[in-house]
Amino acid sequence: MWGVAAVAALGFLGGCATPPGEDSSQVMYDEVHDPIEPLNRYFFDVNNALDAVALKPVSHIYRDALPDAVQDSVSNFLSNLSQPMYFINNVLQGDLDGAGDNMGSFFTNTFLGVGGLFDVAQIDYQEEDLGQTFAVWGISEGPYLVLPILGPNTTREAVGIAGEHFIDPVNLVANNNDIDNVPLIRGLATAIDFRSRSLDSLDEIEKNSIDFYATIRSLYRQNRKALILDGNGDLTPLPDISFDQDDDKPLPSDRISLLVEDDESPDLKAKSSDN
Amino acid sequence: MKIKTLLVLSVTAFCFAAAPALVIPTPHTAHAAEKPGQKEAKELVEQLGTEAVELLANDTISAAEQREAFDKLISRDFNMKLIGRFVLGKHWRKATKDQQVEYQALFKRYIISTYQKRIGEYSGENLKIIRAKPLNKKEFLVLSQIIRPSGPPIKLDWRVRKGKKNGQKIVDIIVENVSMAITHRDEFSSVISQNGGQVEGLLARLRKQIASAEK
Repeated sequence: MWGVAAVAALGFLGGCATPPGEDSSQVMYDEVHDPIEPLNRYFFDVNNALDAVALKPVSHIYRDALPDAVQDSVSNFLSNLSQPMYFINNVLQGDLDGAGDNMGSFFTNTFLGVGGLFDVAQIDYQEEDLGQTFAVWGISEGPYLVLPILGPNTTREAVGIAGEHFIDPVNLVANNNDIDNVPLIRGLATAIDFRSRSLDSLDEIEKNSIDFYATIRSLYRQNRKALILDGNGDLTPLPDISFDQDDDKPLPSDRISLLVEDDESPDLKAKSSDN
Repeated sequence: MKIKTLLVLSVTAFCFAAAPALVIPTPHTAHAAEKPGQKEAKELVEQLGTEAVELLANDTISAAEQREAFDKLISRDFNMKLIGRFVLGKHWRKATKDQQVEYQALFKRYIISTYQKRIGEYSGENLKIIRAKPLNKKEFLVLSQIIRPSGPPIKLDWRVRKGKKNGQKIVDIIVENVSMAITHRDEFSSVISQNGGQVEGLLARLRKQIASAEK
């Protein structure tokens, strides 16, 4: 319980933090929105060190030692376990079609796919978590937050993760049947599954970036935005390439990024009315 | 116990920042009448994709020759000046004339050394161009996918912009809904603020990165 309270408290603290002074433009501030950056950088380094000594080596062994078919089945099994939670979130977001896809996948793969080991359904479902649901409800993402072990988050997503722990049907079923350590084992397995598939790309990003922390922060934010928009092609987040050259300046109506500011604008408005 | 399980449960989130593993293909919307330049935008990307993969998979030429040829391709098809300026963002005006010139040169070398390796590792996988869709008066978005031997395809979009003179050039690449231009801009801006707001700090960091990448 205290974990949740702490996360929530952090969120409120962050929410009250005032934007930086005049020297940074509002635009830049909104993009980065990282008022506790020094602390975040510290935990980012701690997490990287933990990753290097624990998660990364294990994921390497997992990837290299196990046959691909086994890894796929682990992946399928874990995705299938997440479907009830995706279903709940789709319902909460009012996306009944999406919820139907989740339900279809879950039942087909559980019964025909040997408990979810095989993806028989082959349905393109969407991964919806509580953080995304909050976003759909109009809650702004809040400051960027790197939590110990949990890694990159925004305040909204962190509260979502904590909330899901208590409403996830899989955890409830496990609790009711006195099966211990289900969330723990599942969390570890998910972490290893994900890490083993991102070994190369993460190494690559680390090697090529001149500020790994800022790159990850940017990737995380952009990826979250895309997830919230459910990969809606017409709303692909794109940079607003506007320049001081007058003949090159897009008309206000051409500024595509306006389309993707829905996520941020309530926050923006709230701030300007505060000031 | 609760806290511990909560923390470990979410170890996953640690990595969710990078390289989203699941691809959600965008549904094709009905084709509207082709706009002028729409076909050209698609062809531009198609042509570039073919030439780049061919070049970077070619082991018979030296790394330096390869870099030079790749540089030519990039200069031909990308509006590097525009991208460079966008990436530097609000710091552009703060920089002196000399710094601006040096930055543009360094930025291009940084991009070339970074992406040369990335594309080189993609050999064997196919670039499938899907279609071009108009974004606004000046721009098209060319949608494509990297088809991999195993695993889901990677979604790759190209933002193509009409220049002041005739001809179109690429101004951004969007991998799985993540814009490379925005990513570099956030990164560069962070390096500058870590160095007390000095553009020189970024230039020094870029020089160092290029030196180690071109070794």
